[in-house]
Amino acid sequence: MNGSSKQFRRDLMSALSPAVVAALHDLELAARLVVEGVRAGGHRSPLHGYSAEFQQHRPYRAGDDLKHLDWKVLARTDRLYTRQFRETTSLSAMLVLDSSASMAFPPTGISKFRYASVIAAALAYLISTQGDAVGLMSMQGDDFAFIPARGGRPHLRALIARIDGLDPAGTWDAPRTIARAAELLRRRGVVIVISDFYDAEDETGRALRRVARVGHDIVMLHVVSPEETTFPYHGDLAFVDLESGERRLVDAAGIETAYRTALREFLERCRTRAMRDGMDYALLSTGDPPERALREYLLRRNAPTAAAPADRRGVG
Amino acid sequence: MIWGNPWAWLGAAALVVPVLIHMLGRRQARVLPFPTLRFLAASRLQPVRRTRVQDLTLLALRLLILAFAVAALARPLFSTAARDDALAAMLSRVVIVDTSASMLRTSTDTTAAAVSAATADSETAAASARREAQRIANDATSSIVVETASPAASLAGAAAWLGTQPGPGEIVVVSDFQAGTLDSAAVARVPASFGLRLHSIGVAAPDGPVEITSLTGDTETVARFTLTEDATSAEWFVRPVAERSGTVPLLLAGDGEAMVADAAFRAARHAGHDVRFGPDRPIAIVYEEYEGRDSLLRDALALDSPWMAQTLARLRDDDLLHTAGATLAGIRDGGVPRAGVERTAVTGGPAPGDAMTPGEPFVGVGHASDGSTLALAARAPIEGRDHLVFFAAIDPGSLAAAALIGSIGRALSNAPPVTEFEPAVTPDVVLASWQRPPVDRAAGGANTDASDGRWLWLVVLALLVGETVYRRSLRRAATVAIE
Repeated sequence: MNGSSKQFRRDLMSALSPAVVAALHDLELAARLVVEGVRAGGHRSPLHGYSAEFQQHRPYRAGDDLKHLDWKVLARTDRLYTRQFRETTSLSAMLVLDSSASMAFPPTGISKFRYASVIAAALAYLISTQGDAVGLMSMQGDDFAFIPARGGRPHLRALIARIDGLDPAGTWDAPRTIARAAELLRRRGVVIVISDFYDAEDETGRALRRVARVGHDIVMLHVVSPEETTFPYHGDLAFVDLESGERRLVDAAGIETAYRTALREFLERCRTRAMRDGMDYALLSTGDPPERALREYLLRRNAPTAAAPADRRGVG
Repeated sequence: MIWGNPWAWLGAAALVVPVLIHMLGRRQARVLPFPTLRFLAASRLQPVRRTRVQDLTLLALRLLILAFAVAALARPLFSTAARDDALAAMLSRVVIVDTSASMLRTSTDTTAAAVSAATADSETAAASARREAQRIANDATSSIVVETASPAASLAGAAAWLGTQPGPGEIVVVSDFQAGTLDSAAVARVPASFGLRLHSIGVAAPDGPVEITSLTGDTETVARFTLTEDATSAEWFVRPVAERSGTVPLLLAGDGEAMVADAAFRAARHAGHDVRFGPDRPIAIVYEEYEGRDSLLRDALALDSPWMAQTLARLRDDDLLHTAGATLAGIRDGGVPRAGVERTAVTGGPAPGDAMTPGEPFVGVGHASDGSTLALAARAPIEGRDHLVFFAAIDPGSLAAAALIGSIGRALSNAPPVTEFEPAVTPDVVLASWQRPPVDRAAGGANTDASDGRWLWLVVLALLVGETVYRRSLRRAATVAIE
């Protein structure tokens, strides 16, 4: 890669706005740009598991990393031994992506689904490139769209291609999808749910709680659009539910306050429930650059907090 | 401003439609997809009526569009000085001057002498009308002035003459427009391509009563009418017949006919016809059994006096004589044919005792229903003086004979008909509604002529564009601002 293309990439990364993300049709490229934007901040991924497993000792050779020197053996035997590890995939992450029709909003610009796809691909890229396994669970119609958690670049590409092939349509059974994703995660891992969480709020909360009790780490990435939060509508409007097709005539100005209150309460309810059940929760707005949103989330997750659950693993 | 199709203004009723729509209609809600309606459940659509300020502007725009469209359909023609000058430069004009008795009236004296004097008076309404007519006629490129006692009957001839002239044509009627002088039916018969201008000349109402007399022996019954614009009062009385010299025509009849001829004369006077024969217009009626009839026929000459020609012309249109002629055939069919009425084709004038057929120098007077002539008129010397002689072909004692005498008397009389004393005139507003400007027929005639409506259509188009822009701006204002 020559210097000019590097400069272009740096410029692109420095201004990876939602519009740019929407314009990038190559989801893998978008994911890489997002991840490199995250790394450019100098943050290590918090999604670490048991990255190496002890295998044997061998005599120290010049040039070996001193951090792998077994100081205890040196103290007992006064000999230098280096600890050798077997590289393993120690983290399994499952991306649960909401592909219901409600994610296809707003109809113009970057939709919530596109935004969620970029975030999911970026996380997959991030997890995969650090040697961990990542899988995908979604729903298309009545069928699950499932890719098991594995590592490796070919798998990553297949996963991103699968994400790219999803279309937001119909409804999705969030509790069943989340439960199924946890089942298919063979060992304890991280279940990352990217959704607007409009469907079956209580059932979804219960499903997430059950999965958390099994020992999985739950991350709720709640995607909303500015149009939903600000409700910048005027006049008489016939709102059509993207999932059910139901039509409702409203005087936008008349119901604006009530709508905002209801939405704020809903978001607060989601956040409170996640905190109570020891889940990570992040509210992502499609109006924010995805790499910034992801970095801020990762920074928050990486920060030591008293409220962090006891079973959270692999930090650092 | 002239409206070529004023009926189009009925379309102005359509202005109610947008008003109703704006009052009763709702703004159509814009459809917008949304992720979920769960937070909109508590909202309720408030009724929104189009009574807001911005909608009033839209309503005004739409009303203006309709109003201008209706005005354009009404085919307006703006009157400008240049257009009037151009029109007048090629205008043909017929000026019809009403010379009826009412226009000649200066006093209540309706005798022939008085009317004749009034006619000669330069200050009569007719004289004023003539001067006005001449002034109007001089403004046109080509013009003629027609003097007539019945303007309505002259409209057709005027239109026919205008039809032969190039460019626009106009008929100007100068009259006092007594009630009945002109009516809408007569106006409607004038082709729409010709202009019609009605110039009213005010005349004095009769300042005295009008008398109608009927003779009965030595007395006459007088009906005296006092006419005003508001009411008419009548008064009847009987008075002795005033002695009038030379008021009896010369009735030349056989011995057996003299009595009945005199009776017919009395009947004619008794029927109410003011039969007055002046000494300066000698009349003779020659019946078939008069012994000198044949010699008079031989001595008959062609008419050479204007008064004779005028008298015969008036007889031609006399209703009384026509009616009498129509009934005469029935009498004959009843078995009382008159000798000499049966006729054969003879040219060059009738020989004594031959059939009565008009021919030089004889002029036929009156016709029976079978086409036969009631009398022949010619000039003949009687007692050394030229008389207008009527050679009657009818029974001197018949009603037809009385009608002939009465009709001749009326034809000689200058007394105007009673209708000429009608004080009411056609209102100015009605006259104004009948008037219309001349239309340039070169531009396509009355129904397809050019109008200034195209400018109004341009205004309509501009308003339509404005309405569209304004409507879209309203829509944009209600549109979601999506970044």
